[in-house]
Amino acid sequence: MTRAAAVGMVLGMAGAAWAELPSGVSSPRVEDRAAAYVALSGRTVGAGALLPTAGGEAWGLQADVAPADAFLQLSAARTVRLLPDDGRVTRATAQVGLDVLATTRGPLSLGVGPSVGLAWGAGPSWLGGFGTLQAGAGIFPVGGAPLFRLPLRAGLGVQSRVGPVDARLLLQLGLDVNVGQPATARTDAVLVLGFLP
Amino acid sequence: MYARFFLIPVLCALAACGLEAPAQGEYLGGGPLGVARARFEVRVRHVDLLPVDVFYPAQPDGTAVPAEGGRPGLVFIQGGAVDAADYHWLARRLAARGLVVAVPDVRSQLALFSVDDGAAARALLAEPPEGSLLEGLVDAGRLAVAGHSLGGVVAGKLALGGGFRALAIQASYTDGADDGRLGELGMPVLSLAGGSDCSARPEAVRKGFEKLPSPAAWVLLPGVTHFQFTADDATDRARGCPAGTDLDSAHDAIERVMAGFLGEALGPAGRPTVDGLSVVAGAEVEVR
Repeated sequence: MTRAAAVGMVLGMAGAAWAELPSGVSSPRVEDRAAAYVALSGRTVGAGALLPTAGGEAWGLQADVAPADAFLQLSAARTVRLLPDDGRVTRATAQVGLDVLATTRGPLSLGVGPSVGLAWGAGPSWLGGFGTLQAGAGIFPVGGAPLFRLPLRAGLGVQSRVGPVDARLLLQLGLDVNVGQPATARTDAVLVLGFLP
Repeated sequence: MYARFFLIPVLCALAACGLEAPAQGEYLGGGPLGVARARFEVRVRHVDLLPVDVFYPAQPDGTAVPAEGGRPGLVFIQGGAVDAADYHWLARRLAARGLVVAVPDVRSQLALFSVDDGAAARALLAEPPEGSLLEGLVDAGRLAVAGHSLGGVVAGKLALGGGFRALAIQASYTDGADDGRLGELGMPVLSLAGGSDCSARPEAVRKGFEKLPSPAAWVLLPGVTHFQFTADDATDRARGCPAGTDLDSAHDAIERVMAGFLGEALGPAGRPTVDGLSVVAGAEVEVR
């Protein structure tokens, strides 16, 4: 395998990572104002919003489509600040959410299931590093043979905040444990651009 | 371009477009039989779409040429970090000999990470979409699986999963983790090696052959390198691995051995013979 081929596979030639949690909440920071996001990966295009509530918590909502896979994912999650974000260089959040997946072409397939995640980061707000861990449980009772899927994801990325723009680049590796069927490896790169008016 | 990626999915979601299941394909030209290619989409694991290119005997208008009792079929698994299209040359040649060949296009180019893609390609041949060109074309009882390099490892796993009648491994060997189950294969296996292979050395491939249960066939093609099984052997040259034969001759040899093996393994005899595989001058052939 050539180096270029290996890099190409990591950067999106592989199956979609299907980030299970909305991009707005899959961050080590809980924003204190509403924000809008777009998320682009090797296989998916998504848009979402972050809606903060009191006490360092927020709701995240997102819709992703995977044109090549003819799939749509809707996700909603609650994020909670685990470490105070009062100017310190380290921060962390935890998330819990729900995903709904549906085919957009061909026979209808539907999936639903919860997701949980952790995100932590370090560095000044204008440039920092962060990591994510996500796990989910999805059941697909409609369309084809029923499938019970346990997606596991780990990601490392960089985040930068300049004015109202929040930019994140995340490399994700993961595994879908498909109960009773072979597991599927997932890799992807996700670019998240947020706007905080 | 933007419409393709954004507008079409939205419109399809509203209009309930179907997956690609063509009734005719692109005619590629003649041979003993004319050949056409068609691209299908198969839903796998509920969340992924697997493109599968199918090569089949065809009329000039791209429609399939059926055969009484159905045609034998082959699922071919690409090697690691090799484009599935790099094996279309072989699929096309085998289709010209009467087979229906399905080549799943595994996006990761690492079929080991989604073994069930091959099973989905098998299901496409065995239980094709209604109204598609594959309907009634393939004899589901005469299906083989083959793969090159990493694809050979995956082909071995697929064969162990059932539903196939023959297995062909090119420049490869079965996964050591499957050693304890090889006795369950219950089908003829071809181990096809290249004599000048610098990636899957003939000695290693031979060791893999020796683990296979009977009936098993071994063919060593002199001078053939690892990437001469694909459409282009530039990678061999870049790595300083000299071939002992040119690419066209290597392809001719690979085609003849594969056709010989599949013809016997999927035919009435159901097992390969030394005579049937002795189709390339200077090749080492053994059947046990």
